[in-house]
Amino acid sequence: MTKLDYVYASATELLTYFRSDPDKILDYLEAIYDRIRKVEAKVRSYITLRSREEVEREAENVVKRLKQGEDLALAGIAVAVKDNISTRGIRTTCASRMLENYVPPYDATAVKLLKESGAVIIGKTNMDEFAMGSTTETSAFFPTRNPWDLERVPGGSSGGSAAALAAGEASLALGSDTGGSVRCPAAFTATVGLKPTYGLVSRFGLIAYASSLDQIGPMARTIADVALLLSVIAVHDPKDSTSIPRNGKTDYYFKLEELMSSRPRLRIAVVKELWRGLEEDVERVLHRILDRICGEHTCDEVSIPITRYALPAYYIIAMAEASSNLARYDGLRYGLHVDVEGRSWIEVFTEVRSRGFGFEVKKRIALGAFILSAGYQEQYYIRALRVRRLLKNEFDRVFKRFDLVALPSMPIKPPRLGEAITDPIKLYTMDIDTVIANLIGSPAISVPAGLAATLPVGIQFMGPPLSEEKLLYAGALVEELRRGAALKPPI
Amino acid sequence: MGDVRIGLEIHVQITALKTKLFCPCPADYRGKEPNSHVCPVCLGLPGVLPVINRDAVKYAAMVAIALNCKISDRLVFVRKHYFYPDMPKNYQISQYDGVGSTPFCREGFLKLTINGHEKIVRIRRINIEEDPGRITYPTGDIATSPYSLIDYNRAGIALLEIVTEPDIESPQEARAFLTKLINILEHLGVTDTSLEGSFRVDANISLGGGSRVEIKNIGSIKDVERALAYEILRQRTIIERGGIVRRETRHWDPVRKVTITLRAKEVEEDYRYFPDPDLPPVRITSEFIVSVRRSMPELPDMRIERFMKQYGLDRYHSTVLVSQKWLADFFEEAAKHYTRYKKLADILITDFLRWVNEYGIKPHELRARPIHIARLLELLDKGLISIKIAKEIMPEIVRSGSDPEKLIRTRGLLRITNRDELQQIVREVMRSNPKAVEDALRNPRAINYIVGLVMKRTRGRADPKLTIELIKNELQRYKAS
Amino acid sequence: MGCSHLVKELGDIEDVIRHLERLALIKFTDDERVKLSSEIRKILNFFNQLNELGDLKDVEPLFHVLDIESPLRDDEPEVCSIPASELLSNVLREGSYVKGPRTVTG
Repeated sequence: MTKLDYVYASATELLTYFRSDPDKILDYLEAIYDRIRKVEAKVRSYITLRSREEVEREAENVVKRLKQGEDLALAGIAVAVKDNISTRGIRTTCASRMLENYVPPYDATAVKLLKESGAVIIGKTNMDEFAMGSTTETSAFFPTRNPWDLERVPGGSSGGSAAALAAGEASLALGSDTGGSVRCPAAFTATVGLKPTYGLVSRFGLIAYASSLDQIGPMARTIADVALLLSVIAVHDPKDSTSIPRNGKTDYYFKLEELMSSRPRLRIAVVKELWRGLEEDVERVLHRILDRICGEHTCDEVSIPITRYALPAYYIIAMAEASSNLARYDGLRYGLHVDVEGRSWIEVFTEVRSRGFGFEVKKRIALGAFILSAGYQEQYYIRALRVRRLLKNEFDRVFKRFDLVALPSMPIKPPRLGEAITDPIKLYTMDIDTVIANLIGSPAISVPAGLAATLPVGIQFMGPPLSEEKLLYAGALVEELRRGAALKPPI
Repeated sequence: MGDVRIGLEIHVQITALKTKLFCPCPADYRGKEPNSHVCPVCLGLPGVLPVINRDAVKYAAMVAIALNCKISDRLVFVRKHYFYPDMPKNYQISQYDGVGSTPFCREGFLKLTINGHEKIVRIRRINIEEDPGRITYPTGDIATSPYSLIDYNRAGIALLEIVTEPDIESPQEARAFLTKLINILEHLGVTDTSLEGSFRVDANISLGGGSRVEIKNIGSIKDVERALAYEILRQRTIIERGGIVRRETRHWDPVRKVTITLRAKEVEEDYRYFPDPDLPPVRITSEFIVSVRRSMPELPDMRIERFMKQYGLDRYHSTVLVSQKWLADFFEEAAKHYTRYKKLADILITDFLRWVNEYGIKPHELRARPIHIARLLELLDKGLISIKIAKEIMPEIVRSGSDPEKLIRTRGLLRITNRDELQQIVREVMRSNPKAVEDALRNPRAINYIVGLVMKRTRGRADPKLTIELIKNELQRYKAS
Repeated sequence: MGCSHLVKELGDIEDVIRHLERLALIKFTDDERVKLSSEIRKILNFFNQLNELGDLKDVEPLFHVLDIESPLRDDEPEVCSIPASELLSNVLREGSYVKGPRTVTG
C-alpha cells in the first residue's frame, strides 16, 4: 500500500494486510504520523498525541505477538480515544482546565479491551468540555475544525475523534455519546458513529457527564470497521453495575456479513415529527437515500407527538446528573489545585471549580443543581423522568411492529465556528434527533448519506435494545448505495 | 421530668465485612498508614463506578430482622449531596425515602426492660450508607489549624444508620436502649463496638414540644447519657428564665462535658437526593430474607431464655451473662466441662468478672480459658482448695491464663488435710500464742481466733473442720496438764 | 408559561444565580453573570414546555432504562495494585495524608 492508502484504508483491509506481513504495521504507523504532521495544525483533532517512539515500541510488541500466531482482533490499528476516557499514564483532560494535568492511574475497561486486542492508542482527542456541547467549541483549549471545511465545526462532543477519522489521522476511534455526541460529529464529517444500547459497553473509566445516558461509542470510516471495534469493546464488566449481563463477546462483523448475504427485508418506521425543521438541502439528501432504501424495504410513516418533548426532558436529566457527577471536582485528590493554607473548604472548592470549569459547564452545573433542589425536583427532574417513560413506552410499541426507525442524524449542515454557540437553545436544538436514543437506552447509528453543498449529511437508524447488528446492516445498505461516492474531505 | 422527647440516630460500621461497601479495598484500616487502603473507586477518581458488597446487604437484613423492621422489596441507593473535604465524590451514596427511593427497612421496634417495666422504642428506619474519610488537624484543634489532613482509608466503609422515633424519654432510657442495641449487634456479629470509631450517635432532644436540638457525633453510650442530661439541664434553665430554646445543631465536648453550638439549623441543607443512576435497584426477595433468618446467630433475648431453660439459671444470672456476649460465650464453653451451672454462672459474674474489669482486660485480650474456671471449680468441689484460695488465685488466672492446677501445685496451695501435718502446725501455733490458748480455755468461742491464726499460718490451706477438731484436742490436752 | 410569570415565581434571577452558586460551590464572572441572566430565562422556558403535557402523576418516572439489577460483589478483599504515588499523583500531601483546607468557615 502507498502512504495515502494506509491513511484512508479501512481497519478491515489493514488487518488482512498485516496478517500476511506484520512488519507493515510500522510502515503504516509511520504513514499515520506523517499524515498527522501534515494536517493536524489545521484540524487540531488531538489534545495529547503520543510520541512516535513510544507508539512504535508498543507496535513492535504487537508485531511480535502476531508473528507468534496470536489472534489479535485489532492488531496494530491506530486508534484515537476521546479525552474523557481514562487511559493510564496518558493525560486525560476532558478538554477542561480542571483536568489539564490529570494523568489517570487506571485504564477504562474499553481501553483495556482495546489494548488486549492489539490496537495501538496514538492519542487523546479533543471534545467539548466534559462532553457538554455539540460542536467541540466549548473545549477549554482550542476548537477542532471540520476537515470538510476548516471554517466549520466537526460536530461534538466527540469532534476530535470524528475529525481524526475524516482527516486520516487514525483508523478507528472511540467517542462517547450522551445526547448525540458520537452521531452528530459522525454525520458532520461523513464518518460512521454508533451509540450502543445503554449498558452494552462498560462505562468504567468513562468520565461521567450524565450517568443514565452516557455510552462509549465506536467510530470509524466504514460500517465493517465499526462492527469490528464494537465486537472488541462490547463486553460485560463486573466493575460497572449498569453493564448488561452477557457471556463472552459478540462477533458483530460476522453477524453483519450474515445479514448482508441473507438480505432480510427490514420494516422501517419513519417518525414524521422527527423529519421536520430540516435545512432544505439536508432534507433532500436524506430523502434521496431513504427513498432508495424504502424501495427495497418496507417503510411506514408513524406519528409520535411526544417526541416534541424529548429535547427538554433530555437536557433536564442531563444537567441534573451532570451537576452531581461534577461535584467531585474540588482539587484535593486530582486535578487543578490551589493553595489551601488558612482557607476554608468553601473558599478553596469555589476557587478551584470557578477557575477549572468553563462557562457552559458551570451553567449546566448550576441549572442541574436547580433542577434537583428541594421545591423544584418534582416539577423538573421527576417530571422529565415521567416524560422519559412515556417516550420509552411509545418506542417500545413502535419496535414491536418495526425493526428500526430511520431519521436524520442532524437537522442542519455543520455550522460555522462561532455560529451555533451564541444561542443556547439553538445549540440544544441541534440534538433534536439524537437525544431520543439516549433517553430510551436504544442503540443508534449515523451513516454518511451524502453531501449537501460539499458538506456531509448523515442518516440515522435507531433500534430496540441489543439490535446493533440490524443497525449495522441498515448502515451497510446505505454504504452500498453510496459506493463510489467521495468520502474523503478535500484536506 | 416533663415532656422530654429523645430520638437517636446511630451510625454503626459493619465491622464484620472484609471489604468496603462499594469497592473491594480491605476494610481493616485501623492503625494503617493513611491513604493505604484506597483505590480509584473509594477515592472517587473520575470515571469510577460503585459495586455493592453482597454481605453488607446480608448483615443489614439481620439487623432489620432483629429489630423487627419491615424490609423493603427493593434495595435502592441515592446520592446525598454536600461538599466537604472528607467526601471523595462530594456526595454520599446512601438511602432515602423519596420519589424512586426507599430506606432498607422501616417501622421496627426494640423492647427494653427498665426499672422492672417494659418500654418499646420504635425504629423509624435503617439505611445502608458509606462512611466518609477522616480529617485530622496538624495543631490538633479544628479551630486553629491552618489546614487539615485527610485520610481516605475510612472512605467507603459500610455503615448502618439506625434511626429511632422520639420515643425515648430520659438519658437513662437512652443508655438502656443503646446498651441493648449494641448487645444485639454484637450477638449478630455485625459490629465490634470496641473498635474505635465503629459507633457514633446523634441525639435529637426537645422539651415540652419545643424546638428540637441535635447533638452530633457522640462516641460512647456514657457520653450520650451525659450529653442528654446536660442538654435537659441547659434547656430547662433557658425555659425557666423565660427564654426560648433555639433549634440548632450542637456538639458534645467530652472533655469539658458540655454541648456547644456548631451551627444554627435555620438553613436546612439541601441534599438534592436522587436515586443513584450507577446502581439499578436490587430486588429483596422473601427467599433471601428467609435464608438470612435461618443463618442468623441467636439474639440476646432468645439466649437468655435458653440459658434459663438449658442450664437452669435464674433470669438475673442469665441476663448478666448474656449482657456481654463474650461472657456468655465463655460460660457456655466452660459449661461443656463443668455441669454445676449455677456455681459456674455465679463465680463468673462475681469474682471472675470483677478481676477482668479491675485489670481492664478487653475480651479479645483475655488469656484465661473457660476450662481454667471449670478446673478451678472442680478443685473446689473436691475439697482440694478452699474458697479463700480460689478467690486468691482468681486474679492470677484472669491476668495470665495460668492453669489453676499448676498454680496450686507450684505455690503449694493445696488444702492441708493430712492430720499429722496439720497437728504439727496447730501445736506450733498454740505454742507461740499462749494468750490465745488461755482465752480459748476460758471461752470456747475464742477458738476461732486460733483457727484464724492457723489459717494465716497456712495461708488459708488448712482444712477448717480438721483444724477445729485438732485445736479442740490440743486444748483438752492443755486442760489435762 | 410566560417569561414574566417565571420571573415572578422565582423572584430576582440574580438571587437565584447566587443561590445556585452557593449550592454548587462555583462562581460566575461578572460577564458570565450577565450572559447567564438572559440565558437562564430562555432555558427555563424551554424546560417548562414539559408543562404542556399536563398532569403526569400516574406515569412512573423512568430512572433506569435497563431492566437489570445491580450485581452483588463477593466480600473478598483485593489490595489495589496501583502504587500510592500514582493513585494520588500531583496532589498536595503532608506525609501520607492529603493536605486539605480548613474545615470551619471563618
